[in-house]
Parts: sequence; structure tokens; C-alpha cells
Amino acid sequence: MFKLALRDTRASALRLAMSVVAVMLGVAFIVGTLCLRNVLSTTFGDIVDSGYRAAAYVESPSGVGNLVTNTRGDQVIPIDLAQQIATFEGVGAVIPEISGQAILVGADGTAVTGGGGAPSLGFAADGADPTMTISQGVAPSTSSQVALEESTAQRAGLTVGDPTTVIANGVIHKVTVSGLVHFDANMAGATLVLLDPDTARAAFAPSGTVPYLAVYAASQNDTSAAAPGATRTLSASAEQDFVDSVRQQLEAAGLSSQDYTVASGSSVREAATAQTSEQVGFISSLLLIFAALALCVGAFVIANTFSMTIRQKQREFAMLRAVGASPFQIFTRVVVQAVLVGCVGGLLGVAGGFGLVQGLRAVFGSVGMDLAGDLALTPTIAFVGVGLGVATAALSAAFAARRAALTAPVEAMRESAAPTVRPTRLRTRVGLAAVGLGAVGLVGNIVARRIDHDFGGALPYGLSCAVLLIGALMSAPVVAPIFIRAVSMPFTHATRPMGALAAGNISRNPKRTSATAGALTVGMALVAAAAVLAASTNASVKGLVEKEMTADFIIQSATFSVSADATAQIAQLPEVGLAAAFTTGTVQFDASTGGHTVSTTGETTGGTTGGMPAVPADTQLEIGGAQPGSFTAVWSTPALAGTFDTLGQGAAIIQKSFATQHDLTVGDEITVTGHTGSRSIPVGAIFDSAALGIPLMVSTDVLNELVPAEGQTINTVMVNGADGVPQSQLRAALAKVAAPYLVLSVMDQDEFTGHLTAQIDQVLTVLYGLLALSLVIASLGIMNTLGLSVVERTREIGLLRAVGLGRGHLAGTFIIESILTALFGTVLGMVVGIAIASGLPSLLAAQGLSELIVPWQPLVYMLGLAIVVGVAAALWPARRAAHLPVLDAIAAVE
Amino acid sequence: MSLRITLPAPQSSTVIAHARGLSKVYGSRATTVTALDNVDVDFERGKFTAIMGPSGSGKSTLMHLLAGLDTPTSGEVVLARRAVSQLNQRQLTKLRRTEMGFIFQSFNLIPTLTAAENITLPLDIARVAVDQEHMTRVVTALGLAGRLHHRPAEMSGGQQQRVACARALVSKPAVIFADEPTGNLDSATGREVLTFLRRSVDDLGQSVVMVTHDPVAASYAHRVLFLADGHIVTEQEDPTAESVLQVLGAVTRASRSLQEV
Repeated sequence: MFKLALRDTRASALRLAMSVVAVMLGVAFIVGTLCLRNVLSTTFGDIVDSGYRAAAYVESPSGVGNLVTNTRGDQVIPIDLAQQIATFEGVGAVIPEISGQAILVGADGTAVTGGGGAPSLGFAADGADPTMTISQGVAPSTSSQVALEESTAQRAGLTVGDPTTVIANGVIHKVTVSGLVHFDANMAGATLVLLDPDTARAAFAPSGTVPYLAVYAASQNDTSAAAPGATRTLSASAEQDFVDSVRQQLEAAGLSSQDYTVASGSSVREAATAQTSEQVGFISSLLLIFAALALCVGAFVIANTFSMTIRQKQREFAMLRAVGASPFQIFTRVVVQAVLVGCVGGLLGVAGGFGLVQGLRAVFGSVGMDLAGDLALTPTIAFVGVGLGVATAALSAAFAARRAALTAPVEAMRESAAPTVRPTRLRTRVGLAAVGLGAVGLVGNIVARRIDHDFGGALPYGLSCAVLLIGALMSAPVVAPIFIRAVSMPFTHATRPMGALAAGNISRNPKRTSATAGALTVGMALVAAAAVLAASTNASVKGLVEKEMTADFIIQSATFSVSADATAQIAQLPEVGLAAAFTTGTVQFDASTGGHTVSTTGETTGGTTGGMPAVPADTQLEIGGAQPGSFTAVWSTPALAGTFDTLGQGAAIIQKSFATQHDLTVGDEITVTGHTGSRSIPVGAIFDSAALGIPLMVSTDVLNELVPAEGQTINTVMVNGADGVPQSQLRAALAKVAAPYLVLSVMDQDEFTGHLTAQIDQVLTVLYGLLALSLVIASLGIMNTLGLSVVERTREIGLLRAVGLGRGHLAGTFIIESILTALFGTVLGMVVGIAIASGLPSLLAAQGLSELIVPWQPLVYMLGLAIVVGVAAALWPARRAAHLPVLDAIAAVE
Repeated sequence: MSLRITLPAPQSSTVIAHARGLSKVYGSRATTVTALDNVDVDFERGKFTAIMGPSGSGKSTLMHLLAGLDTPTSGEVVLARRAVSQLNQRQLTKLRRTEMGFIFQSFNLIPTLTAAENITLPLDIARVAVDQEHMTRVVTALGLAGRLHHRPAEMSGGQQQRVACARALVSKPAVIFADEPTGNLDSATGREVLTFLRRSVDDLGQSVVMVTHDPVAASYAHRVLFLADGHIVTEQEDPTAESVLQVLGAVTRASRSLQEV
């Protein structure tokens, strides 16, 4: 039986080739994702390891932050502490972390970026830092000198002695490159600039505090001949001893404080690694979902292929049964074939996935982001890939195999044409029930949410969508003939007999048509839902901006932090009537206290929220500061309770959602704690603005009292022109101020809307790219089905040729069939996708999604794409059919 | 494929199709099989001709070559004044729509089309208007009037063959080629179909060429050609089942003894 299976496989190699390709694509995607995850983990792991080399760290309760995600802990540790600790026994060097955002201007005059979102940072060049090696030139010692990390210099096109500009924390410095610095790990495209200690301190630690101190043990100095001067990591026990020793000495010197603790280097590295793993895990989970989708689509193709092959071989199996083969033997024979397909496809997929990642690495490398990890492909991944391929193939073919095994021997005597198959009643009933259930669930969710905004959520909604989709797929065979007839009716007479032939062929086996089109259905449903979501989001954003933004111009930075210098200059421009800066700082809030105590901590430059592992996330909140009076001039949102004038009286204005969440009304007192002081602030007004993402705002005076200057970030600057100044003049003046800072954008209302929608469109493009894979597999499926049906209908083709159907017309029949199938799958998917997306506004109303727009343009493109897919998939089978010699076809044995 | 470019030999008004020097050889030097060896034959217009012979005699090959379904190794075929053996695929395809009708032993109909659509299939392909009067006549004569909107799966074998006959007749072709049309039918149904074919020849002037191994079927023809080993060995006018059986027996015995030599 095994030999039979092998022999048969060789004979039908071409038929199985497409199943192999389907498995290969799905497995390649999965293997590629897993390899990519490996690569990213290794790369970021390297960065963490080389960035946090010290044996001990003096850190605040919020931790040291994370180099990769560019976040920092609270800046509370006095720099002078470093000098004192340096005198302790066993301590080699103590390096305070003086760093922040810095933008480097390259040789071509533009800001140096690393691609892929890599950060752009400035550091203090500390001579005592054991991890820093000057490879060329000298370390910077004056404010007009900087040193560059090696790959940064390469990307910038700068060498020792070149003049350039550095913008450190919003302040422009004209400098010369004094030297190049080497770090041990590759920095994955990050831009690193080293400043002299004084300038760095002024820019990044003006109040004399830093986020942490790196304490290196004297024993970390590697005095071995192999790597003289390098820093080695201590063993776990040695490290722990060192940490204890430093702690004791701190106590002994009376320097202990509640503000900081001593942590071991390993714990710091572990915390940072855990964080990056979380982020990498999120991305790779998303990719794995798409990969699984691709594999499912591939499973469709395989199941279809084997189903058709089995039907063809029905007589052969019946004959085998008649000569005494057991059902199990026949089952095994089919499954063996499937396993072979899975093996070959799996192996090819593993190779493909690995190649994919290598290609990706090359692409990233060309934009400056070097990824590490020489051995992305581990034996585990390869095993998983092949295993998945085999499992998918075997399972998909199992149903068809079962049918083959149970073929009665008497079938061998029957001679019939390809039978017409009606969909089973049970499946149809279940399918329609599922559709009904899903629809009810969706509508129910929508209605319930209108009544009570917190009802349900993503999970019940997602479930309803899934049920709807599955129901649609199951009941598709019933819908298919109706759809086909409706679509083809206008053309049937004009294209007779091809139209009628094509439509008839599809309707003859609706189950197979639906299975073939199913892959397209799933892919198109997601694409349609995404398109509707994107269009709706864009419209909502546009609506919001139009409604609420009343300023003439808005200025934002690509680094999310507008330079304070630039802001001051803008405010002084004669063309400017009012410049309102929105500043932010991070808040800590303890939900369990019932909402009346809110503490603030400063957010340091260059980062977003300081979400550190040591502090639970739900205690963090961002607050904003605005100049009283200017707020209403540039932003139009009504006060639902109270008045905005209270800002000037030291009160806070809060968002409606925040008020509801913490049971606050106008007049309630909130206790606010910052590291420089605490205040009790009354609630002055409540407003509802989805565009302004900040839940709580105070006046700039109050913010200044709570958060140090280096903890504040100017998020946006809104500008109104002075009376009588034309827009163009105002824009020119603003642009002139903004230009030297390189990363600032001056936008009017339309440009701002465009800026926001561009980000949404970017995400959409990535989604389209991922779904394109499922489309490729789907068209493979159609090609597969058509190819096999050519074989199945050989006699019929012979008959048609004998009565005079030309080759071109015969090919045309297949092409029309393919187009109709593709159209059916697409339209079904679109309907489901739009249904799914229609409920999203009610689900995401809190996030600002207020409108539902069904964009007809992308949908028409999708229909066009379906036709293209249909034609492309049919070309090869149609050609095969057309070139079948008439005589052979007529004489073929069914 | 013959390399000679010949002009079609002039046809008299009584000959609808003829073959001259027709040969078909399969295989290469070492393993050649001669299916037809230098056959000359005329087919009269408005007559029912049967072609018979033992298996391997070349009867099917002869019909395939006459119908343009296969190309001869040498010789020519002329049908309705067209040199069928020299036409290319496109021209042959066109010819099949209007000048030839086919009835096979089984699988004559497209399963997804109704009987009516099957009958008008060649005309639909040719974009020629259907002669409704003729169609009604044919359909009535074949007793298919109530079955026109049924699919083949809903009809018996005999009814399907009758639909195939209707299709062959509706386009009024020069020749109807029938390959064992009654092979899959019971004797009563088979006789019905044969009777109708003969009547179409007598009443409508249709020309029919039928390959068969059944002497009863051959008895419905005007003339029977007997083939053996790629040659026409003899023919018979106005055959009966017994006379055909006799000749067939003699031909088969002669052929077998030749083989044993």
C-alpha cells in the first residue's frame, strides 16, 4: 500500500504540486515570524546586555528604564552621590546617567535617523566610563565638541574634524566632531551622540538629578591578556556580594534614602529584557495570527485538492476494495500522500521562511538598522515548521481519506459523469443559524453599547464577528448558486454558450465552489473591515479636528517634544498673536483610593509614559498644562460643567470619562503629589474632547510647581496669528523659526488632519501587505480547483470541441468560471467585513470613532482585484483545457 | 501528415464525402502499427452507411479521419467540398459547428445544460439563428416535446441518445457521424434510435455514417462497408442482419487466419 501510494504520488506530482506550494507558503510565513522574533530578541538582548554592564545600580523606585523602548525612570538621584560612592571600597567607577534626546545633523543637512524608529540620543562622555572606548580622535571636552558612535558617524557621513549641528533637548549647538566611539554591541540603527560632561549636564540634568547611577566594581576590570581594559560581567554571587557591600557602605555613610535603592545589574538587565520581550511578543503574536490565517487558507486548498482527487479515483478505490483491501489500508494510502505533501511543503517552507528573514535583515541593514542574530533558525523552529506542514496536510486530507476508505466496491461498476452534489442539510442549517446568531450578537452589542457605554467590550464583539464569519462560510454553498445566477444572468445570452456553461459548472457543485472561494472570503472580509475602519477613523479624525481646533497653525515635533527654545522664539514673533503651548507630565494615580488622590511625577525628555515594571500601570496618568485664557482661544470644546476660567485660579479641568471613572464632580478636591511638592486642587470644570487625549489639565504655573522643567515635554504649540497678519506671512515666519530644529512641522488644519490620517493609512498598508499573502494562496486554490476540474471534465471538453467549440471559447469558459468564483468569494467577504466594521463606531466611540464610512473606492478596487485574481488563476488550466487533443478527450475513461 | 498539397478532387452531386489513399500509421520505425492502409471510399449523399469490422480493423480510425478528429499519415479526405485533411484547427472547429454532427456511444450531453440548450449547442456556438420550425419538427418526431427543460440526469439513456440525435439533426449538417450509438442501450430503445436515424435519411435527405459492431444496427443502413486490417475488404448493399452476420463471420475468420500466418 505504501508502494502504491508512492507510485501514485509520482504520477500525480503536478496535481499535488499546488498543495505543496500552499503548505509551503503557510509554513514559510510561520517560520519567518518565529525566526524574526528570535532575531529581534537577540538584537535587543544584545543592546540591553551591553547597555547595562554595571554590577550594581542606584535607582529610583520606578527603575532605570529601557534603552530599547527609550524610556527612563524618574529623575530623582543627585549627581553628587556618584562622587561619594566612588570612594567606597571595591567600587571601580560610578557613572551617573546623563542622557536625553539629541538630534544630529548629518553631512547632507538633514537629521540623522536610524530607520525603524530607532532613537536619537545624547550622552555625557564620561572618561571614567569603562564601556566607552574612543576609537578615533579624542573625547569631547568643550561645548563645541561632540563624539559620535561609529555606525552613527557612518550614517551621518561625518568623520573626525567635520563641523555639524546638534540639537540637545531642544537647544541648538554648533559643534565639531572630535572623535569616534566604539560600543560593544551593534546599536540597531540608534543615533548616539556624546557631549562633553558640562553641556550634557546642562541639557539633560539641569536640576542636578539623574535617573540612575551605574556602579562598576573594581573587579569588573578585565586584566586578562585576551581583552585588556574590557568590562566583564560578574558571577551572580559576586554581584550580590558587591550590591550588599555598596548598600552597607551607603548606610554607614548615612546616605541611605527612601528615594533610591541599590539593585543588582542582573535584576536591571532582567527587567529591561522582560519589557522588550513583551513588545517583541506583541508584534510576533500579531504576525503569527496572520501566519495561522495563511496556513488555514492553505488547508482549504489541500482539502479541496484531495477531495477532488478522491472523487476521480473512486473507481480505483472501489476496485481495491473489491480485491480485498481494508478501509484502513485505503485511508492510510491517502493520508500517506498527504503526509508526503506536508513534509515536502514543510521543508520548503522552513527554507523559505529562513530566506525571508535573511532578506528582511538585508532590507533593514540597507536603511541603517542592523539586526543581529546569526543563527535565527533553530532546530526547534525547523521541527515546528515541518510538523505544522505535515499536521495541516494530514488533517485537511483526513476527511477526503475517510470518504475514500468507505467507498463501496460496487462503485467500481458505475459509470457516471462528475456528479452534482447538493450541500448537506445539516451543514446549511447550522451555517444559517450561525449567521443569524452572529448578526444578532453584533446588533445586540451595538444597541447595548448605545444604552450603556461600558457594556460588553472587545471580546463579545469579536466573538459575534467570528461566529458571523464562520456562519457565512458554512452557508455559502446555499448562497453561491443564487449569486452566480444573479451575476451571470445579464451576460448569459450575450456570451452564449460560454456564460451558461460556466455558471452551470459552478452551480453543479456549490460546496466545492464555496470551499475554493472560502479563502478569498476570509481575506477579503478582513480587508473590507480594515478599509471601513480606516475610512471611518479618518473621517472621525477630520471631524474632530474641524470641530475642536480653532488655531491657525499647530506645531509638532517628530520626536514628540517641541524645543522650549523654539517655543519661546515663536511666542516673540511679531506675526504671532497668541502661542499656546500644551505641556505634559506623567501622573501617578492609585485607583484603589477611590479617586481622590492623584500624584504626579515628572516625565523626562524624549519618552512617553514612564511605565516601569516596579510601578503598576494603572497608577499612571498623563496630565497637561496650558496657559489659562489661551486654552479656549485655540481649542474649542464646551465645558459640560463649571467654567474654564477656573484654570487661572489654580483649579484642574478634567475629561468626562475621567470624572465618571473616579466619581468626581465640580468642586471636589484632588490631592496631587509631585516630587517637588504636593497640592490639593479643586475640580474647576468637566469637558469631553476625544481629540485632546489628556484626562486632566492644570495651568502652567501649577504644572511648574509639580514637575521639574526637565520632566516636562512640550507636546504641541498652537499659534494664532496677530490681527491683520495674512496666513502666508505667519506660516513663513513660523517656518523660519522651526527650520533649524529640523524635526518640527508647521501645519494648518488640513495638514494636521492629513498628518494624522497618514499614520492610519500606514497601518492599513501593512495590513494589506499581510493579507496579500492569503490572496496569493486563495488564487492558488482557484487554480488548483480549475486544473483538477479540467481533468474531471475531459469527456465533456472533448464533446464540446467535437460540436465545434473553439479553443478560445473553451478557455473563455474556464476564465469566466474562475472570475465568477472569485467574485463570489470577494462579495461574500466584503459583506461580512462591512457588517463586522459597522459595529466598530459604537465599540470605539470612547476612542473618538464617531462616524461610519463605507469607502466605495477601495471596495471597487477589491472587486477589480477579484477579477484579476480570477483571470490569473484560470490562465494555466484554461490553456491546458484548450490544448487537450479532441480525440483523446472523447476517448478518455472517466 | 501528407506533404502533398492537392486540390480537392471534383465531387459529383451524389458524393457528400470521399477519401483517397487514406493511411494512418502509429509509432516509429521499430514499432509501427498501420491502422488504415491506403483506403479509397466514397459516401453518397442522402444515404445511411455503416462501417463494420472486427476489433483492430480500423473502423473507428476511418471515421475519426473522415470527421477531422484525427490527421492522416497520408491521403486526403474531402467532406462537403472541403479538404478536411488539410484544414487547421480553427477551420476544423468551424466546420464541426455546421457541417458535421456527432453522436457518441455515451456521454453525449453537457450535464449542466437542459435538453433544449444541448440541442441548440452547435448553433449557439456558431451564433447562427435556430430554424424553429425545423427544431419543432425534429423534437416532435423524437418524442422530446415534454422534456426540453430537463437536465440529462433526469432522463433515461434512451432519451439522452434521442436528445443527441436531435442535436445532430437540428444544424442540418452535411454528415452525421455516429460511433456505436446504440452500444449502451437496450434492444428496444436501440431500435427506436436507429429507426429514427434511418427516417431522417429517408425523409430529410440527411447523410449518416455509422460505426457499429452490431449486425442488427447495420441492417438499418443502405450500405455496409467491411474493414479488416486497415483495408475495406468488401461491402454490401441493402443489408439484413443475417447477411451482415455471415459476411462479418467470413471477414473475421479470414483476418484471423492471416494473422496466424
